[in-house]
Amino acid sequence: MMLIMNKVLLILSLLYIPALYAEVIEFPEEELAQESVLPIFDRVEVVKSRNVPTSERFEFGGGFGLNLTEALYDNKSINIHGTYNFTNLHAINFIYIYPFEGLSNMGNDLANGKGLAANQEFDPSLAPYPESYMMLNYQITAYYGKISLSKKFVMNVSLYGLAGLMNVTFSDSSSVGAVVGMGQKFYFNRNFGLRFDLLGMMYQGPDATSAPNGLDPDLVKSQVSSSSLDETLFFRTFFNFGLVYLL
Amino acid sequence: MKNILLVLILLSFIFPSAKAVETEGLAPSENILLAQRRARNTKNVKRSRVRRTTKSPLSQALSYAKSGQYQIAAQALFKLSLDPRYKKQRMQIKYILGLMLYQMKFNQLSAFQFISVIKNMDPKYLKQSLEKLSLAADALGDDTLLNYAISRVQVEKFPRTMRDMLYYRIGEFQMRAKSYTKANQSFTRVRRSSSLFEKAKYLEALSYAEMNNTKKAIETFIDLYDSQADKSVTNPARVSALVGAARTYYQAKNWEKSIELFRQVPRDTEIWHDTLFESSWAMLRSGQFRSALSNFQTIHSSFYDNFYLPEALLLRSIVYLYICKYDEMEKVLNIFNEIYKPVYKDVRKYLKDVKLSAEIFDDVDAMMTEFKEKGEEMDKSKFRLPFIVGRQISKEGDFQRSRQYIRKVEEELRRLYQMSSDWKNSSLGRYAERILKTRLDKARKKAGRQLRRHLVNIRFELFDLFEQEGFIRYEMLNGKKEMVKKKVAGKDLPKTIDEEQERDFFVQNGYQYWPFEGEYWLDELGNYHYLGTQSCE
Repeated sequence: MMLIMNKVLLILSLLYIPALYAEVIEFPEEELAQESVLPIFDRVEVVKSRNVPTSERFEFGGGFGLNLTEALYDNKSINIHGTYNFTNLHAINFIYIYPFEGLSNMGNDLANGKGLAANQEFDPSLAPYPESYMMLNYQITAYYGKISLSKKFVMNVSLYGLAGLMNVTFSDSSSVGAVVGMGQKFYFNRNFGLRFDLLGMMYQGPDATSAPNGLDPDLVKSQVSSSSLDETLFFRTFFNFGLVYLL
Repeated sequence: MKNILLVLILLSFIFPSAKAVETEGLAPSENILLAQRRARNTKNVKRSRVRRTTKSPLSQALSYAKSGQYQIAAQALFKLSLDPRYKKQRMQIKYILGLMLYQMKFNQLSAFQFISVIKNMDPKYLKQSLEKLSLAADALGDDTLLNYAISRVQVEKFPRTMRDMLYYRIGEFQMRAKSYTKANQSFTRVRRSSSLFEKAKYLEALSYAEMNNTKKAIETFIDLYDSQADKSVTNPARVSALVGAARTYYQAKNWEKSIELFRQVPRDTEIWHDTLFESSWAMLRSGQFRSALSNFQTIHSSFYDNFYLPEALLLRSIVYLYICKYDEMEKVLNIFNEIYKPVYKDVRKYLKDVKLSAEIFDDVDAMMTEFKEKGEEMDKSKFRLPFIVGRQISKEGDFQRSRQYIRKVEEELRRLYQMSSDWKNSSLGRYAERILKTRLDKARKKAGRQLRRHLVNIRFELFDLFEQEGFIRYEMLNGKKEMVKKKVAGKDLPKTIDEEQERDFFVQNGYQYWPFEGEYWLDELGNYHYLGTQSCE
């Protein structure tokens, strides 16, 4: 038992070696921060000489996304986006989302008649589905800060909100909608960063479930047109992530 | 006897309120009532006579004044003051006109009426006029008028309620004349209950410091600090007392105590910025180089880009000299030259080109007005004077007082323009406009002269600092030379901080650590800690 204890102590002391070798700089207690108030200047500016200034800079990026509320079609997508920052706060932003083609697992199940009445099938791929989303947004950076991930690694972060108009293209039609969202960027340096955003979309489009023959491939031989389907209001939520490059 | 009585009656008609008006603590209507009562009391016969006749213009004006119709009363009294028929009552009329204008918040105009009475040395209205002049001058913040008034006033005859103000102003006046002992005698007479107590106590302590009586100065500052113990920590009087004590400890060469008090100055006060630099001096003197360099990280952050701080750069270079950081020292000296050489040239050129004092005032005033509106995003290049210099001289106490006075007169002029067109176009309105415009013009010139003096001081100061920079640079080269000599001799020199980027460090539990990466955050100012070590052998 004693032998095990000694070994544990030895391991622990070896683990502590780097700390023992570290240079010790002692600060008098009274020199350390004791106040949480801010100095007064004529104009309040929280940060100066920003590591990642965005004012009058273009920003490009791309990445992957997930449609969190899509049941019938493949919910994965790729996206590209471009932003022009008028100031460190205000920007205009364009996003293009291209959803992967095909059906989701649930869509495939329905197409194979799973969960439906006997001899009944429902193939959503016969209905027009969203082929692309384009949106133009006003973007505002609500917060710029930094995060310390280790004692030597600090990342700048920004939290933003956006709102704008969008266009959804279906197989044979398109419609206009609205989008709101928010996101966060983590910058590796002055030019590169990670972008995560959550977008809520609202648009009108053809309702696949309103097809007269229920999109049964035995009865519907070709793609159904948008005009033969009822219009419905879609609410979709996208989660996108990717890289950004600041020009 | 009958004849004498008749003469007296007649006299009472000629001087309806000839007796001096007792004005202590009374409103103007009460003053006028008193004046009228005195006039009525001379003889009962007079009352019956007045009833029988139409009211004289003066009585009419006084009744307007009594009923609070100050605008009409002022117009009527102004006319009467020019009327040769009322030559004998002129001082009384002017005094009451002054009261009317004072009530209408035309402090400058009222001051002119009171000065006119004082100059005439009419004993009946002298005391009241001096008292009212002091109040008007105090409201205007006009030192010239105040000095004029207090040089003639007898304190014991001044209303008790206003004596604190008078003692304070007299003290200020004596302090400016460098009569510190006399000034302190005046300041100590300001009662603790007075609103001027804090200011008086502060100046009292300052006078002791000026007399190099640091012990008494510190005691007085601490007394002031203790008297504000129940106030908020950012209370200006409390903070001023703290800073005053810290500065006096520095004067007494008690660096440690000075640093200790400087550290107690709350960060969310205007004066904290100054204390940062001043405490750096104390740190240097006490050999706390690392602490001084920690302060410089804040002082030389981008938050202070538009501050005039040439001495701070030289001080930083001196600290680097002490710890043999010659490369850093050279960088700092180069920055000093890059910033302040063009500033020096611009100031010199400006002083050469701009001859009119009022023009200097207009330039600085416009600069500061734009800065207030747009902040640091303003276009600084359109001004001939470097912004950091303009900002620095605009903070000077004498200029601040002049600017405040100008603002008050401008306000009065605005108030005049807002009056009814009848009033504005009346003889009094035109007179008022002329007076106010002349005062503004003179005040602008005076403020401009003050600015010019500060600019000249800055020019001399920079010239002197360039000379010092030369000496410091010489020391730096000397140090570098010694270092090279040691290198050639094969001696190991300590590594500089730049060479030792990969140092390990350990952050104690309970403390947060953020490495500095070139970005300055408002909440980090004052919290920087220099981690370097000295490079001397």
